[in-house]
Amino acid sequence: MDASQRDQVQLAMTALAEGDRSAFRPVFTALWAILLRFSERALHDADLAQDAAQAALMKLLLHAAEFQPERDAVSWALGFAAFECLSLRNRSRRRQEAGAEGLATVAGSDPSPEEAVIREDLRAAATEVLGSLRPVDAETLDLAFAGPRRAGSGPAFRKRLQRALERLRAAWRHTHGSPD
Amino acid sequence: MARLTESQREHRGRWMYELGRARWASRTLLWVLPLLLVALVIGRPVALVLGLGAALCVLSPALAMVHARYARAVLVGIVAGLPAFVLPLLLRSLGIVRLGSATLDPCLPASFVSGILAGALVSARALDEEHRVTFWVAAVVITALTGTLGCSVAGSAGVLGLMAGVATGTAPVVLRRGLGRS
Repeated sequence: MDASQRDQVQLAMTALAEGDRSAFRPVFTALWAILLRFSERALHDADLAQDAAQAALMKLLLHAAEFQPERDAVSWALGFAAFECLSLRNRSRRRQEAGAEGLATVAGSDPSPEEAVIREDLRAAATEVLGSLRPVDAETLDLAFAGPRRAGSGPAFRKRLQRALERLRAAWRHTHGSPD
Repeated sequence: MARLTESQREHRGRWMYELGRARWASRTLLWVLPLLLVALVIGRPVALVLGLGAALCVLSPALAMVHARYARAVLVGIVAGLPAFVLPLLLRSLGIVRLGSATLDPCLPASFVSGILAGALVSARALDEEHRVTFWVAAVVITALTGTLGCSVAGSAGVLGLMAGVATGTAPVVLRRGLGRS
């Protein structure tokens, strides 16, 4: 923008601030181009830039009556655009952060429907295989799953547990086949 | 904010501009409302204050919204109307002055004198403006409304005295300016 264009914007903005409605279109046209260019450079995103420039232009026009002729109209207008660009950038950053946190929460709590179905199938299969074991083996496995306090840690129990696990594997292979 | 087309954006822009002007113009009420409050406190008739106050409260922001020069005219009009608002009320306390067999209500000359002051002030200020006549008319209307709050203590004669004073106060300023140009 050269000096004469800048002067024209200054004159038009001063007239508009006074209440001269005929200065609206020159101000609107000139400042829209300036604000859009500034926003595009600041945001590197055409859509966001248009949003920012539009919001800045509307705020500027809302405050047009308060414009002081001693101030530089272009700098004054760019102040609005800078504020809008910063606000949009902060808002999109906050949205990204909130989105990532939200996804982490979703992933960490409830299983997905697919996971829930798989887990249910495995539980049913395990119950079926455990049901086919001898009561002594089932009891041994039950004690082992309950933890070392109830199960104890003697060599006799370890031997019993080893046999029970071998029979469980065999029963599993028999019912559901080998993973190989 | 939704994305707008070029024409929608301009339409909304004009709307925002007028909204901003209305907000800015409403500041004139900060000059008008205290004056009305004072008028009520010093015992001016409620109907009179409400009537003139309503006119002032509508006219002042409306004029200021049209153009900033009328906002200045409103301020000048209020300031110029202050002597007419105060003087007759102060002199009312003197009562009716007896001059031999004749009597004189001091509020009448007070209204006239304050009218002269108002006319001189408004005219002198109007000369600084580009659109002098419209500025003068707007300022005198506000002066008349403000002054009437006080001048009406002498009835309609007080108001007429104020207007005669405004005309008298305006004439020399306009004439001097005219002579200065020629």
